Amino acid sequence: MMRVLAQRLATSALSLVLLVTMVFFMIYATPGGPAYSILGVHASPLAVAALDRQMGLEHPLWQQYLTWWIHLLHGNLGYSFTQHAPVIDLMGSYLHNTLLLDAVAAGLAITLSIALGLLQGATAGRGLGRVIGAWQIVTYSLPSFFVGTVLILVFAADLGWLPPGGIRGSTGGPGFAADLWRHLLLPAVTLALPLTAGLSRYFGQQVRHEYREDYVRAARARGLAPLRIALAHVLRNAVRPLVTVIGLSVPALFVGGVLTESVFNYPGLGWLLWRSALEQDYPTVTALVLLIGLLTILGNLLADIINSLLDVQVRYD
Amino acid sequence: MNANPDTILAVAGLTLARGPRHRPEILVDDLSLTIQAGEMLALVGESGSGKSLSAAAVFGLLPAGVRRIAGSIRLQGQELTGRSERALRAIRGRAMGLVFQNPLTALNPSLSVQAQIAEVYRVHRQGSRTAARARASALLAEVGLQDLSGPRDHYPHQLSGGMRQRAMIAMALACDPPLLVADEPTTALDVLVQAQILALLARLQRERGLAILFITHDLRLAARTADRLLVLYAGAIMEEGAVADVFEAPRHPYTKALKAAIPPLPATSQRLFEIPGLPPPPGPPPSGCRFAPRCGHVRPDCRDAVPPLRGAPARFACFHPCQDQ
Repeated sequence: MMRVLAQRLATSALSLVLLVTMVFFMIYATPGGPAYSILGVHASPLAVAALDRQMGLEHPLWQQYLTWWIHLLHGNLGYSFTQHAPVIDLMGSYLHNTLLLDAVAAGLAITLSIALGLLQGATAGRGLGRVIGAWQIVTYSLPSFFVGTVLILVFAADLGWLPPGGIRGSTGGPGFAADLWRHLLLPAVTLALPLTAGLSRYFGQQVRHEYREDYVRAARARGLAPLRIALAHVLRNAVRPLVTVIGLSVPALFVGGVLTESVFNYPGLGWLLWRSALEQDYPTVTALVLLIGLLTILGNLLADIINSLLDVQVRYD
Repeated sequence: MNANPDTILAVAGLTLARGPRHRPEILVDDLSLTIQAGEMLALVGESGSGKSLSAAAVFGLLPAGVRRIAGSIRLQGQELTGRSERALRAIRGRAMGLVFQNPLTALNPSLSVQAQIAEVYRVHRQGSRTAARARASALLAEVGLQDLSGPRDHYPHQLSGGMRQRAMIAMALACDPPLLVADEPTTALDVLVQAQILALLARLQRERGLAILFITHDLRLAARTADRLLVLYAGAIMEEGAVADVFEAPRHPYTKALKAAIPPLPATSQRLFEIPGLPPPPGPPPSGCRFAPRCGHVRPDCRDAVPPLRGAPARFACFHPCQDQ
């Protein structure tokens, strides 16, 4: 167990180093150089040279690379010229909103996926199983800006049940939690829909596979009811590989958040990435790309750890 | 059929088929058998002869596409055919237990064997958790797994093949059913463990007065363990009777050929006997005896009509039975 953990940690650390290095060279390789792209196409050579000096770009490559690392390790992600604030502070003020939205969306997607996948696996090849399969393809293919817009049109504009965007209404105080939920609901559904499609399809396949196993036949021969077989026997075996896939979906959730948060004007990191990209705020975009990479690595690591824990529980309990 | 109160299982005229209704493929043709309390009947036949399918029919768990087109199945006098799925569920596991060929795949890998045994008891007897757990411990001890009857959980992968099959048997007996169906229970095990499992089945048969339907392709094993033999070929009964009659003095050429195909012990360098040809594929019932194409004693009239089951006490379906040799 400890050996596996150490191995996974080492792999993750290596991935992290590669990620940071790649992002460094990405910036370095921007056409015309970083200063040129910050200042725009029409910048005078003098201004570019000045910014080069300010950003330390006149130093040799290895020195810049080292400086890049030192800055990162000190939490210095650069300075946003458009927002006039250090990038790290900027990210800090949006992070919790994204974490909240992603957690709600992930919770929704996982719950729905397990229910749908069980149904789909148990009714594979029959009517309901096919309907669920079609639903998955449709919801997986629909772009989130479209789904988000339709949801806003229906539930906010027409029915007026939910707010069209933002994170809280003008009123604060007592109804704060309820108000927050009302704001979270539509973006969370938009974000959860394609994730549910992918997760439930994968899980449905697992369930279908488990249903063909001898132990299911044996459970039937013992007179166990279908619901009991599904929940107490099949679910337990089918859910384990799902953990890995959920871990791998963490960055997808974050990336999906870019469009969803923009559509709903939800002040999270995705929205920040969208804004920064439009305003050519390179330091912020770079930092967010690094964060997505970091999330990918962490998601993988987490899935590995949870899986080996589950395994150990069965093996050494 | 109900004359004898000790009759646990009585199958009469069971016919199973698949395919279109107007031209069905008959898989099991007019199977009749009875098992008394404390008796072991071995259903012997090659792969595809319909043995396991017959067991599935008893449990009402026929695979998709296979249907019962005739016959009755009575368990302790109660008709099982035509019952709702719900009613059958209450009977499976409670009044009849099933043991599978491969105990590793038939056990849920992520539940302890104790939990799986206790589950059957709780579902059918509505007992408390502690009562079910105590029941699991007692059963494990009864099948020779005293080491597993303590409070610790044991998962299938921690057990050897023989232990797993013992656990499967304990699970099948959780609610003290009068009938146990063992479908090739020793095929996935090595020879020594095979003997132990068969000894365990024989002991349970004796001690509990259990009726056992033992399904196997191994005639020698069947003859050594069971009280009576029923030889199936291509879905139909060839010969049936006490081991002393059927195995020692087979009347049907098929039984005789099966017996001749048993490899001699100790092994010799002689070429092993095999029955020439292959069993017929399922299809419309042939005119005449099913075994005729492979039979060494075939005569012209064998191909004209299906030989009926005759004889007493041992019955056989052959126009020209082998004489005592």
